[in-house]
Amino acid sequence: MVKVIETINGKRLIMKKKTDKKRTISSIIYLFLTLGVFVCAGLLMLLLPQKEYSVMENRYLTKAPQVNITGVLSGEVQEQLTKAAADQFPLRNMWMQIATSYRSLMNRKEIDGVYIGKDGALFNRVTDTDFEWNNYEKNLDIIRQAAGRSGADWSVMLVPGSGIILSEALPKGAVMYDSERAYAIGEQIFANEKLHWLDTRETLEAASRKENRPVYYRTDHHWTSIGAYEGAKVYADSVGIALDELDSYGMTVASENFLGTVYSKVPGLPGVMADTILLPEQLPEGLVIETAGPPADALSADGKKEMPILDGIYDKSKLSGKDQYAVFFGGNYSRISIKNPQAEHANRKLLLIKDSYANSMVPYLISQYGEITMLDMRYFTDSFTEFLSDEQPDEVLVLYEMSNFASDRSVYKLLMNQ
Amino acid sequence: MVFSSIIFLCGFLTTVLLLYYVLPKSMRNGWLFLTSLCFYAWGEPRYVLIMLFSTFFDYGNGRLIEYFRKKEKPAILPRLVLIVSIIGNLGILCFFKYTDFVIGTINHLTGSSLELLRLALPIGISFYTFQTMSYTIDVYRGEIKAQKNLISFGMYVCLFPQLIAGPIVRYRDIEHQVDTRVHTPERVAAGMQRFLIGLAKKVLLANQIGRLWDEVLGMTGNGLTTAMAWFGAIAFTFQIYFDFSGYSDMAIGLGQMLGFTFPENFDHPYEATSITQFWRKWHITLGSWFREYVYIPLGGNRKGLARQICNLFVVWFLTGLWHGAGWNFVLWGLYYFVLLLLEKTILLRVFERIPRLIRHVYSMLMVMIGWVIFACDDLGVLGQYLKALFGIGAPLTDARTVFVWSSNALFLLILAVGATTLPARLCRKIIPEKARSMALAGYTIALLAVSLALLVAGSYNPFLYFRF
Repeated sequence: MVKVIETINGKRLIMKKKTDKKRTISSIIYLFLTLGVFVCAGLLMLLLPQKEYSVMENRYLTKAPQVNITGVLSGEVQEQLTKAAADQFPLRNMWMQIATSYRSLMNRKEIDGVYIGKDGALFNRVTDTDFEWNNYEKNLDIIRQAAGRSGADWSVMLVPGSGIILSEALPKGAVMYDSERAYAIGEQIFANEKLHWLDTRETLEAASRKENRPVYYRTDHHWTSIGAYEGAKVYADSVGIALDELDSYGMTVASENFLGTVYSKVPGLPGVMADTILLPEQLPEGLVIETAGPPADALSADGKKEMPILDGIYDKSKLSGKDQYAVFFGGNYSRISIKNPQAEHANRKLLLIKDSYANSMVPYLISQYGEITMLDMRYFTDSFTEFLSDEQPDEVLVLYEMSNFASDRSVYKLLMNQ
Repeated sequence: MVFSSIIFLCGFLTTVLLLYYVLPKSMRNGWLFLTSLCFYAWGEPRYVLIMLFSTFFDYGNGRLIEYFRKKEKPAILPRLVLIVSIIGNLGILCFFKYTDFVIGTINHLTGSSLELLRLALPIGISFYTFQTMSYTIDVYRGEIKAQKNLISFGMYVCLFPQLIAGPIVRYRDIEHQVDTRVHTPERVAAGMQRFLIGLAKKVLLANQIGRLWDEVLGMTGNGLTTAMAWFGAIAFTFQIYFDFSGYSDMAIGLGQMLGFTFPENFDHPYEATSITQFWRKWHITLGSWFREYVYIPLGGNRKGLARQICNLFVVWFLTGLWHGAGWNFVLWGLYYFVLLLLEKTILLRVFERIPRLIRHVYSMLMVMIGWVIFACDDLGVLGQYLKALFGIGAPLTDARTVFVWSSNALFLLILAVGATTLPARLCRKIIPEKARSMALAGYTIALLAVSLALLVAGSYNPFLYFRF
């Protein structure tokens, strides 16, 4: 017999209840199971060595902090411990997969801004609301002004992301931004300029219809080496350069287990297939590569900015990591130049103002230009005007993924003297 | 610290529970007091002092009132202590919660530019000041005896399960449990099940639908269609219910694991067929608090209709303001004042002749509009959102809206069913009584696994009631 005291509305009720042995035992088992999970996980976290890095998420994990009085009083130590407990949880990848599976049960078409398309293709969702129209126009106008000040031959190529070109593979009813409108705006802004406004849509759409030659990665936001080749051809055609056929570049499978940035947003999603990375391997020899310091992103395994060891223009060590797209040049530099003494047009200088879409396209252009320089305005801190007058490029190509260009906040540097 | 975090589950909860049952009974209140202070200090190391002050202050007030009563001192003395207590509690609350609101309003009205204090709001201050205040008032009214043991009293004020977001447990609710509690494995296991259900409500439902609400809110003034605005309103309606009632479930479950029986806080409010009924089912302990300590002392409905309207106005103005220092919260309170007044005077009589379904639809529409007012703390955004909601200057729908509605239809259905008594009734029908406790055990363990997964994976874990 057990005495149970309940207080209901301030009245005290004493009841005698018979105990039920079976129920008591099953209750104890239940508590062992549930509390056991918590205790075991807690102990494992204390005992196991802490992990530095999550390959699946492509990010550094929070580790338990040093405990000190000031840290505790300001709450920083507690905050970091709270994060570390989630980050260092045993079997983290398994839990992440369960979580993504649960979320895809609730909504099979979209998770966290990722459209889950047909055949395991993932797309970054960019709707008309997501697309930054005002900033897009502003950036285009900055380009117009910068081009007007310079004597070089300017081109602008804004490449639409996979959701625009492969719209048929989007989940049913999913919408992207109005790319027609985005092109029309560019057309209008550059209407009276001699600048080339390049539209890659038709070429990419045509290329995407070929079997087994994907133009975009399924799990990453970049175009593939095949898509990049198509882009290179559009540019070459517009400036009157003849590119070789794709196959003459010696396309070689470099990786078959590439799970890219879009996948990182929905780690462990069922039904996703890894991507293949092809690299054009037959490139000119004797290239001279100069960079302004190490890449600004694509850090080394211990979180440092390090100069990668390049094999030609590739950093193949990146292929064994998560951020495999960084195989091209080892990441994004504020400034990198590739000199090719044996180039078709040895005196021609091309300047790219670009995001990472350019990294996989440049390989096809190397054989043509004596010097190609890539500036990443996100990281570039020198005076662009001075750079132009020092380097005197013959051609300038602005190359970005379209929605990334619309949200870019660094293009203004093109007008800065300092 | 929030309940829905790994550090709470794997570190705090296990340590507290295991040692609680290892320690002799005489030390358990002290242990709970101590760990509750740690729980609070985890996020607010300095503000723990305010809570301790509150504790000592009302402990003293309670003792003093009883002392004056015993010594048969003039009635003015205990009354004075009561007034000091109320001023003290409200003073702390107002200073931390409303000073910047008042300064901001003054600046806005007069164009002055007085400096804001920019104080961080101490977590749970709205809850524990209400609890300590009700304690002193009840001692004054002679409904309870003052607690003589400072540790027991401190344990009551700071008790971690209900510290941050209620339910508002009045001292008289658990007067006898403070010093004698019964612990059985069955009760602890039942408490754990209640806790896990609350955790799942928060993590599996509220957090997930909350992302969608954030997204819709972000579209305000940027292509928000009417159908999308309604989707957002529905999303937030579910988010706040599963967030808050989940939190109450966790609190009640934790209390049960420690031998307490806390009052219930929610009773399927979205099944209500009138706003009057809704407020009997939503945040019940707050409603009772205002009735008990504001509405009835003001005269309630006993002094004529004019006075009753006035009393209702005061109660709902304060209820709104209690939820947050912003005009949208005041507006939200007054919105309910108007609705309740309408129901009291006319509608409830009309309702008798209207089908239940229509009454239910009316109630939910009103509640949803209410939540929009509640959720938009920028009045400009609120205006834009309401316009879209009523189709003023907004397109009815677009392709994105259709996609969002259709791809989340299943989830919305789950949420809607989950907010009713239907699942519980179905289970009682389908599962034979003998198998029921087994089924519940298995079900809650599965919930635990998926909740843990989402806690490990997701950084999205906002907590709506931190501000109140």
